[in-house]
Amino acid sequence: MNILLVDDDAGFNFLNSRLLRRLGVIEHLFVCDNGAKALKLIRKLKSNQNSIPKIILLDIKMPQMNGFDFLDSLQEMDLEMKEEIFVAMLSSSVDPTDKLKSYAYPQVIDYIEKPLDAGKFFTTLHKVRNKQNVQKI
Amino acid sequence: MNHEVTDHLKEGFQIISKDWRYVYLNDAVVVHSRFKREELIGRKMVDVYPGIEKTKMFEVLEHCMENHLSANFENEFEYPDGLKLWFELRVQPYDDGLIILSIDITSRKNNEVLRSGYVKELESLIDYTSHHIRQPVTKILGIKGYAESGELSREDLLKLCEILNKSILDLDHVTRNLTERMLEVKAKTQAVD
Repeated sequence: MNILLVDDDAGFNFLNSRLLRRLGVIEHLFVCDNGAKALKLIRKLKSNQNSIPKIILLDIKMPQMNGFDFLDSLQEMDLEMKEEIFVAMLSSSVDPTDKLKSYAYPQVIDYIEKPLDAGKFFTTLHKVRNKQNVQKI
Repeated sequence: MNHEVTDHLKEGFQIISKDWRYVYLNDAVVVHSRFKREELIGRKMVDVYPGIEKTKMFEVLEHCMENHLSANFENEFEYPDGLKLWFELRVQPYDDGLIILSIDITSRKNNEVLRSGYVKELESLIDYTSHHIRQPVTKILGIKGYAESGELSREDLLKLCEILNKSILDLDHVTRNLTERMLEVKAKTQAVD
């Protein structure tokens, strides 16, 4: 499974990349340090169905384009596979309003409080697979 | 009308004639007006308070007068010397004029403004805590979790130390900042008290 990690913090990107690779479920891991770069990457990959990331782990508080701005742009993007891309917010915020706002977006399947760990990631993965099975039916 | 009851009400009570002259004012309205009773009775509102005819309050009064309607509203009244007080006004048609009941709500309004200011400060502190303080804390927790989850190479170890070092410095910075901001809020609160 291809995963896209979007976070402006280099420390988190290092930790999360290492953790995700250790779990051994990733085919390809993309890392972007802001929302604009992530959108650019998705546009670039959209012609190739197999390379499109299926899970986006998205930070909220980022300069230039924050997580919610990214989600707004993703919703507006002309993309055939959009319903097959699942977003898990990955944030340090414990403010319930951030969580509520996140779940208002149809792509958001999970809200993970940092730090990411194996248990949290597999919970998200489980939710994604359940959703994929429903889509197949 | 027998004014014995209305004269000493805490609520302001005034009667305005159809041609906008003060017909009756109880003691509370006289205090609110900052004039003497004899300086008001028989005079037109627009002569006592020049420019009042351009205010939103007067617009409502005119509407009530012309259409024999009631209205309840809150109004910030600006006196000629610039003093501003908030009043809750209840307007009722009476014969060809108006009865206006008024209560000074300045203190309540000021409290509302203060409370709204505190809520904004609090929201800003929640946002700061939730994002800026939690950030280095969760990173330190992440380092701990990653270190416990398997073997670490020397390269990993060096990188983790680097991240840990940065997180500690960030935490130092944001907690100092938070303390400064909380002291500012405390100073503002004390200034109000």
